[in-house]
Amino acid sequence: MVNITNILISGIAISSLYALVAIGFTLIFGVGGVFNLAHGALLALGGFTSYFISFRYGLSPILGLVGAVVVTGLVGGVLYLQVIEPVEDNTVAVLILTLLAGFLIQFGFGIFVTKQTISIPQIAPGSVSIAGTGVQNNTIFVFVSSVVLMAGLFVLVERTDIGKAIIAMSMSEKGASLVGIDQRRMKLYTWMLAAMFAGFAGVLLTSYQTGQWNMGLQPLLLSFTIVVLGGLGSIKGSIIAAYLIGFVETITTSVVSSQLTGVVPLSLLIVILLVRPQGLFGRGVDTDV
Amino acid sequence: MSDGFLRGLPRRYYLGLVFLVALGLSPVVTTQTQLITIIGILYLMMFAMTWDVASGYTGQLNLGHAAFIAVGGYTTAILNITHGVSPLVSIPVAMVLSGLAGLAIGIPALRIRGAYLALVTLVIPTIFFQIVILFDGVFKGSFGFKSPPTSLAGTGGSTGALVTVNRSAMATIIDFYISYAVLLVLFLALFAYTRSDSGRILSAIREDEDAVVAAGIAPAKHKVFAFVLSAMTAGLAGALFVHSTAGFPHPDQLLADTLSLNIVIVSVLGGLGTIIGPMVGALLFGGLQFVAGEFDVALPMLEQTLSDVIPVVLFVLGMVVVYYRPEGLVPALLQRSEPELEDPARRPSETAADGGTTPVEQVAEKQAESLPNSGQSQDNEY
Repeated sequence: MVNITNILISGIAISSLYALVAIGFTLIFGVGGVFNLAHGALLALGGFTSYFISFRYGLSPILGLVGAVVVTGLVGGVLYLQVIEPVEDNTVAVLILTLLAGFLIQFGFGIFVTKQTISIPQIAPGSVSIAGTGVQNNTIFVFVSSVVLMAGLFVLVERTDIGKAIIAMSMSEKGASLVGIDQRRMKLYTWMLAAMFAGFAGVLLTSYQTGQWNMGLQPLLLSFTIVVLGGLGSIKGSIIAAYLIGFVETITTSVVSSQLTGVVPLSLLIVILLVRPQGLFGRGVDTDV
Repeated sequence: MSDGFLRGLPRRYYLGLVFLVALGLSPVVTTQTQLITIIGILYLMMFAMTWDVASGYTGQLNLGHAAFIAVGGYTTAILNITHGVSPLVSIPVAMVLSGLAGLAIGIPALRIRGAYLALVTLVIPTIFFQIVILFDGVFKGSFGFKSPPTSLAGTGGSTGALVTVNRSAMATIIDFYISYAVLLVLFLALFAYTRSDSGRILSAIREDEDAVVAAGIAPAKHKVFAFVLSAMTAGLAGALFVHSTAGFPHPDQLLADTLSLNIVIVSVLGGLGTIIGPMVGALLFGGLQFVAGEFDVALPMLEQTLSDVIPVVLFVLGMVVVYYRPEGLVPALLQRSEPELEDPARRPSETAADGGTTPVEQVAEKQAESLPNSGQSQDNEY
């Protein structure tokens, strides 16, 4: 008999993690129309930064998390200004540059840091019992931080000027320019915000599972699947899609076979692209909040 | 149509010829181990130019070319090792199956374009790898096949060889020449195809698909054909690769993320949509790795050796080229050395100064000539 509570708990945990993983990818696509193939590498960067701070230097894992978010945010900004912005209109160049930049970062870790699996101390050690099932505090932290951050993102996008400007850009770049929005700055903010989300997700991923120098590819493909399923660029759609995929994966791996880990999202992607390429919530509506 | 391309014959074509002959003479000066590395480079050259014919020409990035190579490699390995079929049969079968795989990607690729296609193709080798793991009875899982397939050339032994000689050094040399011959054939075929009218339509599609449609040409069949051609030739190269001394039917060799990535990097280095560019890029890439491997020095401060850091060097090189010379090294060098001989078809975004035409215009004119009312559509502006 399969334990329903277990499925529910690990489903919620993995789904909220997936939502965090995908949201940065969604933001950059929604605003710039750019597929950031270095997204996975930004997750790896987050994981490795926290590994350095909280494992090699033995500082608090919370400090590792904060450090990772700051570092990835800065790298995301530099990546946009120095690499992407000058060639932004050339789709092929952007794809190749982000792909190469991503692999450059990851190979850098593989060559100069370690090819071994890395792990970091748990951010919230210990466990509690929920409905008779032991749940790690770390899992709860993943869920709570995911919900809080998503709520924060909604507030940012709906209530602040920067958020409104970002939405405006995702609707129409020309229109946004006409009303005096500084496109370059807004895109820079978006990239930094997206990278910070990626860094945060990277730390949680490393803490929840483990990390490796080439840990970025799988989450990149996952983000793409989520973003396509949720409707390209839609924040709400991405969150719902993350939960959908997280639960489908948890159920298939625990009910059918654990060998299916990783296969499910990818197969879903192919099916979605063939059957419903516009995603669940349609495309075109860019940041439908 | 051919005078435009004959015009460019001097110098750079001779240079290319000299280069190819020099490459063909490499067994004379290398040791057996070095030659095996060079055979590996020959296959990277083949992989890169088969990639270029679809992705470089139409501008539809395929980030999972390894999948086509793997279809070829696994087909021949399963037929040959598991079922004892001769490579003379299994390699052509592998080629056909890869062509079908190309069709399977090429048709959906009509619907999903640009960045979407790039990401979808990035997924495909990963799915293929999962299939290899799931059906490890057939594909032998992540450890690959235990025994090698029939070699192209060998000293006999349990697995046999297509060409049997008594010295293993000689076998490697024959192996080299078989691979080299296939490289030349593939090169000539792809070069001729991309310089034909059909190839010009592909370049025109990359520039402006709507204009091609407006000229009365359906881009769909040309795009699908390019994908099938790319996949078939990649399957051929992949199948030969596992039979050669440089390759083995193992997922690390056929499905590694780095394989597809290297193919993209070398093509970008050399120049997308030129066939020659990716060959030169692969040679440069392989050459750098070869030299780094031969003269491996420990780098101070980094606690690494040169060959360890070479991937990073290549990524940086690739990024620098995309950034500063997005057309690639070969077209950039040609433009510098022989500006007057510039082939307009290679620099699609600009019209040649001497009044030469871009592929879109060429295609439109060609189409206009074949229509009964040819005079009118000449004036159309695209």
